[in-house]
Amino acid sequence: MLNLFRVEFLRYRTIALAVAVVHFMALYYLSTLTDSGAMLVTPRPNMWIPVQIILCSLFGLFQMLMHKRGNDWIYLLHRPLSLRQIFAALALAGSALCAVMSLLPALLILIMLDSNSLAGIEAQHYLVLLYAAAIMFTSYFCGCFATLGSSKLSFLAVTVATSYIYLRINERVLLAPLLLSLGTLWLAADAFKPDLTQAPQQLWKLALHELPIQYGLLWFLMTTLVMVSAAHHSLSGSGPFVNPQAGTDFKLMQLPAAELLQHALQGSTDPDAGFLSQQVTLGEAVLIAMPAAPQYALRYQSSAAKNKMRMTAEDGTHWIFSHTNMLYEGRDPNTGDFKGWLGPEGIHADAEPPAARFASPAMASNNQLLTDDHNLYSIDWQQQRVYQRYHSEGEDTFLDVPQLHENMTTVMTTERLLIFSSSDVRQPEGALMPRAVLQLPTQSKGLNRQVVALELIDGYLVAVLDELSQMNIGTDFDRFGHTRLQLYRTRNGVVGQQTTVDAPIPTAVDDFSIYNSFVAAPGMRLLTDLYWGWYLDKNLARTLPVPFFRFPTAVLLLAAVVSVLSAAVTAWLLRTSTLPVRSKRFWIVANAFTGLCGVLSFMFGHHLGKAKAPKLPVTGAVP
Amino acid sequence: MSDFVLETRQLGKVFGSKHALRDFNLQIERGGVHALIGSNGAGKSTLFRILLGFETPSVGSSFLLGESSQALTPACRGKVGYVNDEHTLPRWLTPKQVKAMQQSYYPLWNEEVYRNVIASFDVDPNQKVGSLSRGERAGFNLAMALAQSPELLILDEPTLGLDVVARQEFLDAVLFCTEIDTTVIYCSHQMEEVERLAEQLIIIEKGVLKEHCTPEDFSARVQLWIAPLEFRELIRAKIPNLLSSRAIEGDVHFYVLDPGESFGSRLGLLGIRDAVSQPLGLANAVRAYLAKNHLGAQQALAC
Repeated sequence: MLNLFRVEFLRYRTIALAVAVVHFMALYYLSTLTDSGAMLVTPRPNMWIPVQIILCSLFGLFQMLMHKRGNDWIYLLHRPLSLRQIFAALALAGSALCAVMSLLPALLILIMLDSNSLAGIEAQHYLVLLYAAAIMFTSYFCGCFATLGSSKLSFLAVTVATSYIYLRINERVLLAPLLLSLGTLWLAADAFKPDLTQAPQQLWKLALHELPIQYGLLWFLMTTLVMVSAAHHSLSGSGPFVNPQAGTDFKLMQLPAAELLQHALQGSTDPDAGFLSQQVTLGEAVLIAMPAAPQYALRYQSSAAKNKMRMTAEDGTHWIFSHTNMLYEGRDPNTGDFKGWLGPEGIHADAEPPAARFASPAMASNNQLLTDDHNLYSIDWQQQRVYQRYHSEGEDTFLDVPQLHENMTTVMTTERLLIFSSSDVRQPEGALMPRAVLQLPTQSKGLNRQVVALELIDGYLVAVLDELSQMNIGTDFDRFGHTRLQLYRTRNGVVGQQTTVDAPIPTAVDDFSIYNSFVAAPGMRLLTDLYWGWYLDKNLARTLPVPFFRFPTAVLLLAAVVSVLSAAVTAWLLRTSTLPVRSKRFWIVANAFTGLCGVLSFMFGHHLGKAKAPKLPVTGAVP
Repeated sequence: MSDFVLETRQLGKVFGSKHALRDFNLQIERGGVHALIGSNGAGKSTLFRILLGFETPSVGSSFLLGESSQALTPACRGKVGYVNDEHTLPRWLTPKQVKAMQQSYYPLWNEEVYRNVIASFDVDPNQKVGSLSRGERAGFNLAMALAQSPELLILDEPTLGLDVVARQEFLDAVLFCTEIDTTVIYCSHQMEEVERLAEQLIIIEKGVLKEHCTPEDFSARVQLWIAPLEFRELIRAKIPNLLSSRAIEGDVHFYVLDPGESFGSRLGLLGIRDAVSQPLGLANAVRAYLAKNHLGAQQALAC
């Protein structure tokens, strides 16, 4: 087996090294343009992971294709080694080559950047390589399965890996990609057999082989539908995003801050609504930017948070937050010379880090304010001092850095919106007292919020568009129709808030857009939710929507019609089949469950060909 | 241990609506060189693929060295050598490296045989396999197959594209197999090679096993007769088991399968006078036999 591993590795070593060198050079070039390690470590879809997914998928596909062609397959398998040993040798060699092409350059660039302290690479950044490895191996085995799978549609399995492109990359959810990579490894290993056209004999294995194919079909169907729908919306100038109907969630989302407040005031029970409306017209309503999740990295730095973890002092010194020391480390940008540590007790010039450190990663804004989980600090660069200005008690932690506007400064916590006077904040020291503290409703995971605020003569007016949906990924069933518009008013010297509006807002997205995938392939949609729901750390209702979520009757009826039709078409296709009754039942039930995806996979995969084979006696037994 | 190195029972393989093999029953005993002959598309490669377990039969079963082809153990695979016309080898390695790898798999590796065979093909062990000539690659491939000390050696058109010298060397090496008790199944379109090597002849036509006998028996069954050209239509119409006929210099040459001892007198009774029988070699007998169902060949012969 080791010999075969060696032979396989040697086969592609030159090309792997060439790819690795090009990869390293590309990363190095990017590191001179962008924020050091952020190009590898980011919660947003970026270029690096998709490139690795495509590279490893193609390599797996190509590697197995080279063995599959002509007599090479016989040469590979006709040797006194078990199938498992041969596959293990190939898979190990392939994985090692993928690691050389993808992981090694990334590791080298991290080490290289790490050696340059200005780049601010932390030990925990290396964890991203583990996450990348899991996705990379998933892609590689999907590529292998695309070539080895017995179905003609096996290539669709690559969608399993490529769908990661559309999702937030977050190594805190490492278990899912690890399990998925093991699952795809099993798939490729099970498909690896002398007669590649032979479908798995056991039904459970067949079902597992079908899953990634039908998942790919679901994506294919939905992508086609979305593209057709988008083209229609562009041409017609209508649609929930292009031109949402008045009064719907997306329409309100597009309104300027002042108009949103005016809209909210129209339905307000506040007796001063007319007077407040005049103030909105005259005053400066501001849109409070919502913190991007995850706000700051617990185990890595996101690119968004990264910008909030560096400062430039008045003397030009660069201060970058060190997760290792939980302090800001100052260095001369030109020479790289160490300039000191910045902690909660001020700036220390000694090389030895001071004992007083931030309790949690501290984010900076305006080169003047620092916020960790519970404290707001300001920096006095002249005096080399750091002052604690505000402390938040309990489990309520800051989600973001303060946003300084002309008159008011806002900062979001997990539960509240704090509003300070900007003139107070601009003072270097002294305890800060919030002018208003608004208790906001708990936000559902994965949904957005839009907040606008206005300073009144005697307090503040705040409109919140809560539980806003986005059609960015996978469209959860429960994602739409929960939006609420709330209007809060606070008065100077009065604790608490007055809620004068709390109205549900209809969604601009129609039922067809929300439920099309469920109608087309109910079973596949539910299974997909099961995985991605878990992966994205959704709540149980979103992961297992059937028992928790109330589907519209029309949707359920349509889904049932598609299921019945799928089962009927399958039964009709199987009428002349020589497949055992057990297999026939399996296909009818499975295709009823997976709907359109099941029927398409059955028709265009290998199974219909088998069903049509002439009736012949069963293969004889071993003598 | 099974009496047969290879056995098929009612073997059938269907691709869509085409029957590649049909009711194929074959038993091959240990020892000797067995030539497998058939036109292109007759089902030879499909048979090999099924025998080696790379194709699932639509019906029937097949066995190699007593083991079902669909469940060949690594040990059984180790006893079966396979050489194809492409001489598939890792082209990115040197013969030395390939040999080191192969040697580790086969406990019965015969270094002497390997050296002898490879020496006759003058293969440079340090040259990349990809840069070897076709003849050298064929020799190297055969050397590797023979050095495994296989019980059964399957050669699928191994001399395709080889020059005269390389082919000669190759055949000499194959003959050596008979000395080391290896059973050889030799598939080739070169009748001269078959004539030289084969102890048994297996003829496949359109997926059906047509003949399985010794070359001598087969040669005796096919006869060439020459009669005046005027009887051509009569011969075509009246002669049973006529394989083919063609006009040559005022005569009609026709091939007959199993004519029987009294064929000459039967021709007389049909009114075909002055017909004489000519001796026929194996190559021509097989050619005539295979041409029977080959429209292109028939037309060529008729011209």
